[in-house]
Amino acid sequence: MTKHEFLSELRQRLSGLPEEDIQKSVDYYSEIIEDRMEDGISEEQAVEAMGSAAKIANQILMDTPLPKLVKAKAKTNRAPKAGEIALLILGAPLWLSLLFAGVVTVFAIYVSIWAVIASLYISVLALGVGAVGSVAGFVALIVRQHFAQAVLCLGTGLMMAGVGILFFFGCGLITKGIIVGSKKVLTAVKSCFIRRGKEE
Amino acid sequence: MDIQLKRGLLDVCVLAAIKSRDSYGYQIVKDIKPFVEISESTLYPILRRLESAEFLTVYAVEHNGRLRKYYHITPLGRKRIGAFKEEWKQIQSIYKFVVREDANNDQT
Repeated sequence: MTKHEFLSELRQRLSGLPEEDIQKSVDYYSEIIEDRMEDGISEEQAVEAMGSAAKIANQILMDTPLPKLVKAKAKTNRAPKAGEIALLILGAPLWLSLLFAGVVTVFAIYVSIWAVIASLYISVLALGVGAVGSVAGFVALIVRQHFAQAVLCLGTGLMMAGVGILFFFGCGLITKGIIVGSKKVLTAVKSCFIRRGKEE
Repeated sequence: MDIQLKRGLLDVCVLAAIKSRDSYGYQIVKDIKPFVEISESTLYPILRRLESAEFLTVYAVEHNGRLRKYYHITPLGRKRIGAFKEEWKQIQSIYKFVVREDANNDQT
């Protein structure tokens, strides 16, 4: 593969990113290949040492923030034809509402995940308050000399404290899990855009 | 080596490579290679990251009828190297602790 072939493949695979970004990447790899050749390595070998253009392009796209990637994807669909524009406008009541529903659904899922976390922490708090309350109740009942009720009250309080402590550690793990999970989802979404970009 | 750790170390290595004189991509790789495994395609995202963090600036110089990009370290970049040296002291004391634990286990 010649330097020119390698660079044009790289350029093609990055197509859709802002021209400035593409040029930067192409300039960088062009410079490295030229420097290698100046070191006395043949063009063929210098290009080979770079590895595959597909891999390099993928890495660059992975390092690109998601909003830029989405924009890039939108841009690769060149200027739409008149028919497509008409369809887009006529279909607006349909796709606009679908798009809106989609966005709202994603948002709702996100909110509900955090609501689950919040509710867990609130339960822990409630258990804590309950435990403290029961201990207070225990003291009050002792003073009034209702011993059986006092013991029941204390027992309930201790149970609440115990469950609360277990819950607290569980919450930490669940929160961590959700954060790691949402990061994975983001990566998956990104690679989805990259794969689609390649087909074009 | 742990990916996150290596990433952080490579950032500092690249800054160290341009610390005393401005350098260009191929030269940086050649300078670092004897110490850490690095390739030109690993260097590229690092340079971009360091540039956007304002640890270095880029300028082009004409060389043999083409442009070559030189990287120049900023005061912020120098600070990063200084911070790394401080961090390293802490890591060394952690290392000493870990090794000491090993020695105790070996004896018993």
